[in-house]
Amino acid sequence: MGVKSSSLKVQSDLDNLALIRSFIEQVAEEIGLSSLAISGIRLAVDEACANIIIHGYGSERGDIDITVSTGANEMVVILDDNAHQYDSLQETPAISRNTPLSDRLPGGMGVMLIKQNTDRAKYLARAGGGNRLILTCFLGDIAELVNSADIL
Amino acid sequence: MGELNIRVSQMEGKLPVSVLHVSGDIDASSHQDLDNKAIEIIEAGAQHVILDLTDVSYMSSAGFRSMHKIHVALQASASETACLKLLKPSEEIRRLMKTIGFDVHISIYDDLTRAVDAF
Repeated sequence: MGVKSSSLKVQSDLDNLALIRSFIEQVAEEIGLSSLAISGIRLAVDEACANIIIHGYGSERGDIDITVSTGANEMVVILDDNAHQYDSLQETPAISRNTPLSDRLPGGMGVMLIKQNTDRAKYLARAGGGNRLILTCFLGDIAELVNSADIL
Repeated sequence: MGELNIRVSQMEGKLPVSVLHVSGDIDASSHQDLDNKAIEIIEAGAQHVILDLTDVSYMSSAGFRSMHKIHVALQASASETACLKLLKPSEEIRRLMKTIGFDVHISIYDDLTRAVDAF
């Protein structure tokens, strides 16, 4: 199976999140991902794009380029933006299930959900400015292999 | 901004209960609607709140931040019985509740009458 790519360019507007989710859902359905995997990657991309719009561009407007590549073993979503450079993936607070909610800060859940719902999440500062996030989901046999290795 | 439809109903169990019936996707573009309506009813005196998620098919962390905000606002009230309960979240939302550890602190019900009686 060769690598197949699809892309979408949107403005950094929170109103575009629904469009972004539909795009990811459609591509994921076409390659036959399970409903659980589709929900996971859709959520991860939504969270990442919301971060780009709110924390990256802020009050400014810019583009987000979304490229999805699928091969035999993985689905890779690349998010490119021209916002100021920052690694949003580092902002993950440690969460203890038993900590009362009133003692928790509300932030950081989005990044946690990105990491929990992808097999790999990587940040790169682009050489010419802007940011790149690479979100990867393993498919089929390799996902089972990796997940079983995680358990062991 | 994305829009949520939110209707408020009042129920009487052992205690008076306010139910927020939400429909739509709760994401970063729409959660403010839920925040505003919840704070409005809490400031008006609501202490026992059910968030009806029957018609919510998608929720991102923005929705969980709203839930956190409502929970904390109710906990801050003088009433010891004040709290938030959830009604009929989707399987996906239940999965995320576990991931972020909210399931330990916010009770989930599949039946409105049972949720009302649980206060």
